[in-house]
Amino acid sequence: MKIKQGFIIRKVAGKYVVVATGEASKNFHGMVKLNETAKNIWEGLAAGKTPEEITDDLAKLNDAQTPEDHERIAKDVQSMIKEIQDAGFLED
Amino acid sequence: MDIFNVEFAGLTIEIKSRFKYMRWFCQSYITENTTPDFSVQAEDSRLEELRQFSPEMRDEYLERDAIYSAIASKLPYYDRVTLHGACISYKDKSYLFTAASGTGKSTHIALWKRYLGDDVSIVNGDKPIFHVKPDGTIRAYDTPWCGKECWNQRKSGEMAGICFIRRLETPGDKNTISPMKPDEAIPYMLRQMFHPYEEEATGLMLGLFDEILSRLPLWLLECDISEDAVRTSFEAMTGEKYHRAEKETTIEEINKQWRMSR
Repeated sequence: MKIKQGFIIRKVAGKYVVVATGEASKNFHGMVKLNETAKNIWEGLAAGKTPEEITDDLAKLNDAQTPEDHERIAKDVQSMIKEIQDAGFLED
Repeated sequence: MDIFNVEFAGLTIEIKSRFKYMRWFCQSYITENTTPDFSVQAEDSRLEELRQFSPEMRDEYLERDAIYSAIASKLPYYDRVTLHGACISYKDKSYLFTAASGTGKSTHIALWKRYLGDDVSIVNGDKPIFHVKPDGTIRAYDTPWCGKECWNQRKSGEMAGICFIRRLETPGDKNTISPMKPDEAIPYMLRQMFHPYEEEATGLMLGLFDEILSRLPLWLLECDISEDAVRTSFEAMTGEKYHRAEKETTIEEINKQWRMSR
């Protein structure tokens, strides 16, 4: 599971924005706005990390102390990955 | 191959074209300067893409549009971007009106000219270029690519605002304009951008958009086709009180003054 080639992420006007380049821009002319957490998940996927690794990274970043904190982050990661997948940005 | 140099947006560009039409199209921009900043030609893949989009279009026109795509992909390396929109000057300041095709950009800038007269001039009616300058200003430039109306003058100007246009949904509603925050303007802005092929150019372009959005006043105009629409956008964007010119400028006169002669 990885972000398809040809999408780049940049900070524009304080928001993270994803746009397509190259081949990908033929099929995707729009843009996606992401918040800080979503951007970290996106970058994790782009780097080829697993959902578990991304969850661990975010837990560290957010200084998650309890199992509940960890669980909440894992859920966020899952739902965000599903959104990214449903939008067609992921490949196996 | 026909090879020649053109000069616009403060850049010298070498154009390599298959058709003589290109030289005719660029005729008022041809320069004797022999040291171009960069060189472009129509990429086969882009030509094919454009052909699929407009199968009835002549090869000369496809090449013309593919060459502009190639230029647009190079511009970010020179702190410049192009946006789909109509750019005019009022007195010594320039304003971009942008929206999806068919919304009424050309109609709106023609209304400015009709009611405000000589103080309004055209920079480019379709694909102006913007230079994000190190001194903090943004300069708008004319180009040979100027849409179906061909409104373009050899003229640049310092930018003082971008206006995103939407048509009033219910005719008869009041024309309104409201300031936009930079992040609110992102989707409007990105819809009117050109997608460079290379990742690096796209990244640079987004960086330039970030600068443009933070430096310029941004407006959302919801308007119809009327003098009141001009009053609404004019007063907000220039900060001046609306004052009608003594004589209305007709569309024939607008075309005479604004249409680029080739």
